[in-house]
Amino acid sequence: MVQKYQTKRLDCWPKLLELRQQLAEELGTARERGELLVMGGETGLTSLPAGLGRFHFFAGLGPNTARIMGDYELLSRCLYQAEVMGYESWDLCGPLRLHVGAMALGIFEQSPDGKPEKPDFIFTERMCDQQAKGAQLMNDMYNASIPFFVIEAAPEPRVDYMVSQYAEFITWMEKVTGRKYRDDLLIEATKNEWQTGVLWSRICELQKTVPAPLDLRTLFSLTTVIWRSGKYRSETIEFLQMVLDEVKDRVANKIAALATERYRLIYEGATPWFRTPTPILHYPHKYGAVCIGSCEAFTGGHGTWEILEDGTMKVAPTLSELGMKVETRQQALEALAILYLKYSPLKIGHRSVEERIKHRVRLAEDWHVDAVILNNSIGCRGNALGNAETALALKAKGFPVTVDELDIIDPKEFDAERCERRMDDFLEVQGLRPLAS
Amino acid sequence: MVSAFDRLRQVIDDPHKYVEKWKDSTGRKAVGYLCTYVPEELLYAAGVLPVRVLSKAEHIDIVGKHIPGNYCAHSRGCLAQGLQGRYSYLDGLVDSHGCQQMLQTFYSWQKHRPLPFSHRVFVPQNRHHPQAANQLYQELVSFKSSLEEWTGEPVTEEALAAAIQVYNTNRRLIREIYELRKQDPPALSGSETFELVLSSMLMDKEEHSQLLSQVLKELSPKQGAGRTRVMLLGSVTQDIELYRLIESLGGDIVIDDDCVGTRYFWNEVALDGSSLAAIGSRYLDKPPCPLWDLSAKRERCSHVLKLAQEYQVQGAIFARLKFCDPHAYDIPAIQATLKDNDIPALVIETDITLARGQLRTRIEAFLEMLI
Repeated sequence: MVQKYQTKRLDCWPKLLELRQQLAEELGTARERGELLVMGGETGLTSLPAGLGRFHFFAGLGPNTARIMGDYELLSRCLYQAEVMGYESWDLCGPLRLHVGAMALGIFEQSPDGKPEKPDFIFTERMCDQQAKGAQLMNDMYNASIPFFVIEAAPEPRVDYMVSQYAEFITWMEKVTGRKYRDDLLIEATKNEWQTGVLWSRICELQKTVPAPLDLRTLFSLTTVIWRSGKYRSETIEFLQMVLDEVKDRVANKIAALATERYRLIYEGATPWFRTPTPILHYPHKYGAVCIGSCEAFTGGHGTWEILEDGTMKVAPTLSELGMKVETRQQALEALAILYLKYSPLKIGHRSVEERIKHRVRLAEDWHVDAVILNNSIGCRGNALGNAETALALKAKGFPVTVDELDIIDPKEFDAERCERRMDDFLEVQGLRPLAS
Repeated sequence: MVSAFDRLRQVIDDPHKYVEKWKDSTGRKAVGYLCTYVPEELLYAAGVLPVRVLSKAEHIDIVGKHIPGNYCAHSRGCLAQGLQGRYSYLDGLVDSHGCQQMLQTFYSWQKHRPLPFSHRVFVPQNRHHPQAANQLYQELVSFKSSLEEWTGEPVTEEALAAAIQVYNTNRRLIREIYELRKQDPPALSGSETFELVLSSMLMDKEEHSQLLSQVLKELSPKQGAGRTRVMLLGSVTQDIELYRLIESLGGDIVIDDDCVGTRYFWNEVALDGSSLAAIGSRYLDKPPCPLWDLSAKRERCSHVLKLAQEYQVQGAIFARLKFCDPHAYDIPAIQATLKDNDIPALVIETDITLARGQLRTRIEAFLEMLI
């Protein structure tokens, strides 16, 4: 007899859609308001450009990503275009190939109403090897007309190096934009960036609850607001606070993401970003299995966690809990350096395989998980780092693990039948059978 | 009597035997390194022999449960060698904070076949940043302390200065050899030069320099028509077969931009001020790997073009190591630079083994086009 939990869609879902629409529209009219457009690799450190005033952020793949991902023909044209230009191998980083192809076809930087919107500058923090080269590649694509800046993510404890790079970036931004940098805006943004991470972690921590209040697919959807707005805005905090309050309510009232939850999964690594015929993260639902999260979702540029010696992830303290004052530029830059050197498992995990494995194992243990699915996207070395050793470490702890190889970008590489069969086999070996519908 | 060249070839044929013998005769330690950004001078000054870890396809399948299949053949091949115990005589393993693929190799090796000493050296990739030199200096101080703690011996300023001298001499001698390749025909073929560079990565530099000096003395200008002059650009090309294949088709690699090539030895340590600072500058200034070339200047483009022009190459061959993104992303930009200067290029893909048949056809067609 399978237990049935109460379930419902998030009440704040319409707000999420509204915010996303608003952000998209704001991007299209940013120029009219004299606001900057900034292109970046991920959402961390968005407080730094915030000192120039409100700006709009092309994180990841640009404002047209959803349209491209929903259109196989367009996506394939982009990838083919990259191949023609010499980025010819399918084993290279998919997102970067897509970037190149979409830019060459003139559809990368379109606003939702189709207007071309070039960024004022590009900045990225180097986490993976692909990101390290990405900004340079984008600069080539813009015929060197868009300036770029790369911040190197150094290993701990190099706070001084990080601070000096941030300071140089500020000077550089003033020079390339001709705008005066305002420390008060940086200070406010830094506090927000820290708080955004803490709120996201608090939401993710509630996923320890049985039944899980949210599933991984919903978590990824919620992060789109952070991706699109950056972590520095007060609206992001207000939205995440709203989500947190609602998730607490779901926990208190045992409102589940999946009414039939009986088996909990981690799906580690990114799933395909294009629309697959198989809804990968929801596919296990027919077995009463729910993907409750992953390091990727809990930490991917958004979560701020304190990491204990054994890899345990605890929600990081707030700035005030740490007694850290952020009242000057120097203090703000130091806070950002500490945030990403010490409280970002994502960034730490890109520098240390050992730490990455510890975080994943503890996550499986502490979030009461039954089994783990790891995805090695063929074109993504950064995501794959430590995956094989993670599988060994999880198995040693008694967790069943399967490793898939789904490409995140290239639909030609996706085989729906194979993907489903692999999940069926894995879950059935664990003794699960499809539930009667 | 064995010639100097043959002696170097013996080391390449069995580097393990050489290092084991070296350890027996000196009573000192040997450390493997995984990247050319590891400052070998410090190891040498600590009385330790730095040995380049080479990848091999031998039983590469054993790494499947440790390293993803979408990592490059070099990272997998090095780990395969480590896990099989081929380098069991090593006392330590050192890497730089370079690419993530070698980070995985370093971790898995140390996890499953731990060696007594291990270290990852942080060489800032944002190398033009005003703080980079200072950061590297601090890192070298820390690396030196780790070595001192491990060996129980201080690394003195004199030892560092001597190590710099030994390394600079070796680099200078290899540069001399490379100078000779500007001739037409070059005094040495590409494959012979490759052997000289590769052997320098495996041997005590002092001994290597003695042998190199002899090789230089024994060299005489070659007569006759030269072959088609080709530049090789690659990640870490360790397979001499590629050089030989090109030679068998009428080409000759007269210059390269590769980790088993110019990127390893091209620049010297400038002896001024503190030895550690001077060593640091050398590694920040060396011809960069793509991960140390992140600025809009794209220094690799101008550096490669300069080499190509100085060595009067007729064409360039990019040996793109499968799954090596950083190099792959540089190829179109460098290729465009070469094309703008009328230097045609061919991109071939290399993996665990060379697809000789297919490569033969493509390279042959490319060389014919250059004549």
